[in-house]
Amino acid sequence: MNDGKKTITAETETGTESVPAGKKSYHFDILALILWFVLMWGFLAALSFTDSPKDAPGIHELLSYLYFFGFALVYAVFYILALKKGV
Amino acid sequence: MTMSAAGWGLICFLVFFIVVAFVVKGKVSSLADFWIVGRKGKWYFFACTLAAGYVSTWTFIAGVGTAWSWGPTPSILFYTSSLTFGWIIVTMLIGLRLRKLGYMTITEFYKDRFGGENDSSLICAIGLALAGTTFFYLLIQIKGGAIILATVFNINIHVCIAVMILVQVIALWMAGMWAVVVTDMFTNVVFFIVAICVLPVTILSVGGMDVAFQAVSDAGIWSATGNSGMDMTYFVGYALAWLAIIGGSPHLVNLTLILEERKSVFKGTMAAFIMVVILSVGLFLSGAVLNAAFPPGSVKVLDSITPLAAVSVWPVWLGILILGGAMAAAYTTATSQVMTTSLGIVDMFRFLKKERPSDKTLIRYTRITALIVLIVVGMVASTDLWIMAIASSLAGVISSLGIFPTLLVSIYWKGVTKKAANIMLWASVPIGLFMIICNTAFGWFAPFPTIYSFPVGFGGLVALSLLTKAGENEKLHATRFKEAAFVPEKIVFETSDKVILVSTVTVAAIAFFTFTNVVGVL
Repeated sequence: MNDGKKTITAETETGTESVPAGKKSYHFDILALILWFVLMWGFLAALSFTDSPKDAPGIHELLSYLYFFGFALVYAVFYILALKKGV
Repeated sequence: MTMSAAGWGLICFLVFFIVVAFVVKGKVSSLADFWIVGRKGKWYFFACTLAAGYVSTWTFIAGVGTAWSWGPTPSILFYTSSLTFGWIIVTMLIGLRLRKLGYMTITEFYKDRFGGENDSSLICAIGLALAGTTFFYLLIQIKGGAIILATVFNINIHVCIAVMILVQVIALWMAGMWAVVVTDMFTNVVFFIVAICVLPVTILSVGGMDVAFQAVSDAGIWSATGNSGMDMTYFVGYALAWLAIIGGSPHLVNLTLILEERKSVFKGTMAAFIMVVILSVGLFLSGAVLNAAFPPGSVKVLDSITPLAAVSVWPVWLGILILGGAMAAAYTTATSQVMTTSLGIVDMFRFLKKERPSDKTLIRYTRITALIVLIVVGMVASTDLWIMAIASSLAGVISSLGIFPTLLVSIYWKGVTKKAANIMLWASVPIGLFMIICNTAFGWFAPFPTIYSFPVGFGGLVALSLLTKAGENEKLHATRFKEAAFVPEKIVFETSDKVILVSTVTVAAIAFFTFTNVVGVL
């Protein structure tokens, strides 16, 4: 039934299919891009521009564990976004 | 530990893989069952199969050896972009969208996105690029698993390659993707036990905390680059290579397509992440601590550190679990890659034959293709060709030139044309080979070829898209894809979501404070 919403129709493997046109959301994508620039390059830059001793654990070890275990929070943010805004 | 105990352990693993396939073969009654477990995958299936598809022999063997020689942090740094943003790209940005549109294979996405026609050139290009990307990575897994068998049983490596291939063929022939997914569940039990136990047991085995970490300090292998002799630009190149290998990894995209519910992508990825990061950090720190048992320079072949520790440092049960886990990691990663490569090839028959083959015929084609792929991989793995040493780099370069940019950019930008995607996919294998050969032979494209292949892949795709025109049907399909993929649909927030969110973040926090305290940086 046409409820007045615009649809896009195309021939596909399973026949003619229509999808409703609506407001597209790019929140995951924009967030991933921003975080990639900030976190990955920030992490590598932080390691490049800091000195850490080789004969004892130091700032590099701390930064590495913070980056990897802290990344669980990034996944949590994506999960919450999916639950709040839909996918 | 005696070698016979390890040997019996590995035999049990191999027999178990076949038994699993035999038990689940009854679940296969359709093509969808064979290819994507009938799209009945729960989030915990996905978490296990994602972790098992990612963790490889490198993690258990070369990673531990590298950590012993270079230090624990360089090994961890190899995961800078693969386990983190690579996973976000492959599961949440690409896999989720493909799953949302209900595709069964990656070829279906390309076909639908670029006009829905059976374009022979495009479909063959996808088959080539999928095979080109996964083949070289598959080589490492088969060879890695065989090296473990050869070391433990002290027999010819060719026999071990044949055994690895035979077990995979039997399992895939019987149950297809069901065999992959259920084996991955079991493998994760092993990963979990190793993740929890490896560091404390290694520390106790070498004489306690003080002895263990003093040995690492005496070896002078702390810091980001440790004793690697590499500067940070090498790790930047490596981070880019693995962003392409994992971000555009066809077998990980394929695993996303098994999911019953879309939100399972987020649940599963989060649970898998915390498992893999604890396992990896535990193994690499243990590798460094093994300097207390094997002084620096005392072992020439880094890959033999894990087998040596299994024999003379770790208790029998942990040695068996680590060697078995290493072989299982190779096996599980390889089986999902064989399925992906086979699907890319079988899709050529599915879409290019005048009459679409029946589901039964397609299942038969998939079995035969998997057999042929494994035989070819086994033949190459049996040689000592120079290509073995650079196989993973090759996979990353080929991926960053073809599959990765075409998959990622064509999801977002309607302007990507079929001609442009086609050219980049066809060109990815020869250009990738050219870059790697020149890098190996003449030192060109240094320090890491992906630093060059990324701009060539993405830039080439954009430039060619601007220079070529899309047909009307192609534009219509591109618009339809964007609407279907990017218009959000609500999902239900359940109690289990809260439990997983809170428990995963809590486990991550506990792991962070435990590791930093053990090492002594907090």
